[in-house]
Amino acid sequence: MATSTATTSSISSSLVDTLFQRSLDDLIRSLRSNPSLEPVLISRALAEIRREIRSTDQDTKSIALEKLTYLSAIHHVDMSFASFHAIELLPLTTHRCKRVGYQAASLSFNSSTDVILLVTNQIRKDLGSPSDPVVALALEFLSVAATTQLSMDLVVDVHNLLASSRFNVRKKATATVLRLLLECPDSVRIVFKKLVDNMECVTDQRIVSATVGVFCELSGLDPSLYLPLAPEFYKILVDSKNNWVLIKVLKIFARLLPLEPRLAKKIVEPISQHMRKTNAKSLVFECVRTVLSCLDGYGNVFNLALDKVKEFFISDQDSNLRYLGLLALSMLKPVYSWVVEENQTVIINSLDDSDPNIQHQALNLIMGLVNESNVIELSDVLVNQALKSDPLFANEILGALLSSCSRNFYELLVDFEWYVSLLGAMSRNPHCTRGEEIERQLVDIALRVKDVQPDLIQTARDLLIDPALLENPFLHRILSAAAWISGEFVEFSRNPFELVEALLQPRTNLLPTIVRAVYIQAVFKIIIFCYSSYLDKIENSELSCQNDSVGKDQVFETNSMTNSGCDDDSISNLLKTDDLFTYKCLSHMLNLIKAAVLPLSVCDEVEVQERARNVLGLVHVLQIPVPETETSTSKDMNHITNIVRLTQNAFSERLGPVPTNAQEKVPVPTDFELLDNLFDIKSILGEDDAEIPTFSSFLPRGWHHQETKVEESEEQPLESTSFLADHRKRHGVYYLSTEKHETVGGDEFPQANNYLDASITESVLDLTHKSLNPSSKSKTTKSRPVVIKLDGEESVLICDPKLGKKKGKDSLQGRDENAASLNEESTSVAKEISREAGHGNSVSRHHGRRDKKHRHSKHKNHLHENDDPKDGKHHKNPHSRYKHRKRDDDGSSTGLDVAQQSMDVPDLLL
Amino acid sequence: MIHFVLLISRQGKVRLTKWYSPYHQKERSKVIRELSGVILTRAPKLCNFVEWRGLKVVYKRYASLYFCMCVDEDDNELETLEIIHHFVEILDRYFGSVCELDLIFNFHKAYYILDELLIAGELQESSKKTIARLIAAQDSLVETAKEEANSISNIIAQATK
Repeated sequence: MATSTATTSSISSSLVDTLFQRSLDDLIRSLRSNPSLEPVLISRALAEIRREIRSTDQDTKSIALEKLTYLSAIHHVDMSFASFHAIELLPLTTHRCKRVGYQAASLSFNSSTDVILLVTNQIRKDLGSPSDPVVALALEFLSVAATTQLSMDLVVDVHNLLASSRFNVRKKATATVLRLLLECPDSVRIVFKKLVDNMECVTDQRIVSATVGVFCELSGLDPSLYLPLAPEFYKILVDSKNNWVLIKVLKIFARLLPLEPRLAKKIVEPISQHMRKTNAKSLVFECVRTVLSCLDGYGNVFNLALDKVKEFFISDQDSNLRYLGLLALSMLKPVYSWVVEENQTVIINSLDDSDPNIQHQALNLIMGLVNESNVIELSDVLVNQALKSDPLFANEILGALLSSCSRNFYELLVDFEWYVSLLGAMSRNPHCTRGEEIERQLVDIALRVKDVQPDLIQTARDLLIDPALLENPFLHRILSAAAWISGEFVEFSRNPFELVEALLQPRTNLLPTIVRAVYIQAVFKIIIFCYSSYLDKIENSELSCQNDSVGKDQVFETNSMTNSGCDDDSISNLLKTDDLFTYKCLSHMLNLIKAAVLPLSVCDEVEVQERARNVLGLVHVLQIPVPETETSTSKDMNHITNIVRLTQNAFSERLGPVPTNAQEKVPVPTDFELLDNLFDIKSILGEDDAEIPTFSSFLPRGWHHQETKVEESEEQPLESTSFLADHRKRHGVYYLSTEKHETVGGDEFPQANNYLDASITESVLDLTHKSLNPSSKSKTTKSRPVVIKLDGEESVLICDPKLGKKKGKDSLQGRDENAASLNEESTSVAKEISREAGHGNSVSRHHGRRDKKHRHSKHKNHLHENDDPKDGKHHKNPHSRYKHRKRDDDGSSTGLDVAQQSMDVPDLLL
Repeated sequence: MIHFVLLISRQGKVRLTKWYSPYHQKERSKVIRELSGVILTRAPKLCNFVEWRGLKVVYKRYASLYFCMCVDEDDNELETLEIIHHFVEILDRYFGSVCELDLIFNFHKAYYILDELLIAGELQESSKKTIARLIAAQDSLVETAKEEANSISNIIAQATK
């Protein structure tokens, strides 16, 4: 091996290397003796290896490579630099060196190794070697490192070994074929016949086993190609005693059965035989898996499999079997949910299991069971379970519940009152991290389901009032939603003052500023609501006063009571009387607000500061001297009344959801000139002394600073609205034409919503695209309330069955007009939609009424359609449901010529 | 099929890795880190299967070593567990009550045994006896070659050639 050019020094160094080279053992020992120095030792060893591996002595080289292989496998050292040295060792006759070379190559070579092209001839030579271990090395190398090119070059050589009389070689060659076929699918035409022959090999079961393994993997890629081999597989299924082979054959059948249902009848018997006879749990489980996923139409074997699953559950010592039992149930088609229901207790108990995998499977199964009749029962079980589970699983449970309950616009839910309280309960789970999703659903339900708004505010109140919840940062999003709800739907609140106290409690300083901004805005809305209620009351009593002098006295009585001055009673004490909105209560509330909000007016955060100043401005205006006599009310009260009424108008319009594509529904008017230059824009602007609106984020703040008084900020929107209307009147050509002008704000200009921005919190803006949604309050009924849906191009409405078709139509049309000013054309669309809604209505009614008994009979029906296993009635023609699979004759798939010649399963099997 | 075989010690040290599906070096160390994090933290007496990246890892602890095999999702978990046990029994027979140190110092031998047990990610030999015979035959082949190579005369002859 020594080259003729080698100098004396290189010879001597090589000799030194050889004599004093550290062996693999030495390397391992040194690494183990100093674990702290590992990186240093490894780099030193690497330097050593780099020198040694260039040695001309084959032993030195092989030991160096062995050490490198060790470092690469255990310490993840990159050994790609030694690829060529590994190849150098392959041609050696010494088995030890050859083996080291092959091992290094098979561990380190991959598709990006360029020198791999050099090994082809050496491997070919080794494949032809008379020595079994040498052939084995070459085959093992190919089985892990074959590239497409190598596979193409060597498939013939491997093919020759498939018929070898040396069984060990033949076995390895068979297994290696799999890798070659995966790399180069075309070579299947070369090896296919030999493979089939090997499957029928009677002398050595190991060869059958290897062949079945290959077919099992290949059938996963394209099962149809292997359908013609069904008789051979069947023979193995009946004859083989080897569990490993049987498991593989069952897997193959599981893939073939969907293509050829007639096979089912044939294999049912052997499978039930195996299930009865064998002691191997692995084989039993494979049979169960095959039966539950593919042979569900065969009553006897199906029941047998279910019995085996129950056995798995009973053996509670072995968590593997319990896991597999649950896994088996999860393979069942939805039709067989009764089977899952039968085992419901076991599954619910599994939620308590110490193994997260088992818990996870059990949760999946339970979520599959949920339907509208049991959703309440199961959800309560799950929420309780989440309370006692570890944080990770608790959140998995909550997440699963949230997503299934909200699926397809809450289709599972009838009782939203319950669901809203469930959301509240979920929020109270100490592990809850699903704040974002709960927030989304609270707001979503608030917008979609009108009937539940009173319950929502109750839930929101409970959440807001609890100081403990403020500690958990994951709940802040939920609290933000609760605060928004408390402001938006304050009219349903039993006690708005309580809400104000909750919103301003000292611990709110734990909240992030963005949520605090929402809190303050909610306070703003509540003040307006309280004052307008108060004013309503006065107006009413004044009205009645004109008719009845006694009523007048009552008003004075209330007023004089407030005159007695505020004592330090808390608001809630004052509220014991039926009369909620007395002057005393209001002024107490204003004092409280002033005290709590004042520090925030110098807050660093603009959102908080701006809103705090809004609130303070409002408080400042509203805090006027107490109206003592009738006359004193006149001026101040009028002023207050104006402000309150104006602001209330801004809030009173309920914001409803609008589909994201609403804008697209607006037809472009025929006279709408999009291509014209806006050359005269200057003159228009000049006329109006207006500026092009800018959307810099700075603007709102500057605006805010100019006007600290609230009346301006309240009137500004109206000003801009009237300005807009004015502008529109003059330059109508630049606006989209509208058929109907709504009264709100005077026009339909899409941006008109912008003037509400000041009153809407940021988070809500994110959540919904709003429109004005005039809504008539519907009575709370026990049946499913209306859930407004906006989906894709069409809005589908599921109506309250009692509200009937007409109402659904009206409300839908009304909203659409508001949202996007539809013309006649789209109105007809809306009519169509509402017709659909009527249909959906009847469907939902059907679902709603369905009681347990009905459901049971429905299951029965399903079962009958799919061969009720309990009846044991089988379809006479199970295959009639399936079209017999047609094949392309062009052979374009993977070109399995041999298989195509006899594609159909021979009749002897069927 | 089996995608890879991992032997990890209780301390998270890798003792053997064999990859039957193509994974690059970087991926390999990532997979090992990820899986040892999952498997070593699992309490005893839990089930031996871990769902991982759409595959399934079947593992079993023998003394201080975790034997892990990664299989396809629809592969038979119990069968894989049997293969692991089979492998351990063969190692035990070969080393004579195998311990972690045996595998550390005879790391390449553990590979050769694994190569006789599995090929291309499939079980190739279910008989412990046959594997023992094959390994013994290879060992004797190597030993004779080693004796020749290690004789001092051979070394001197090579060096002065």
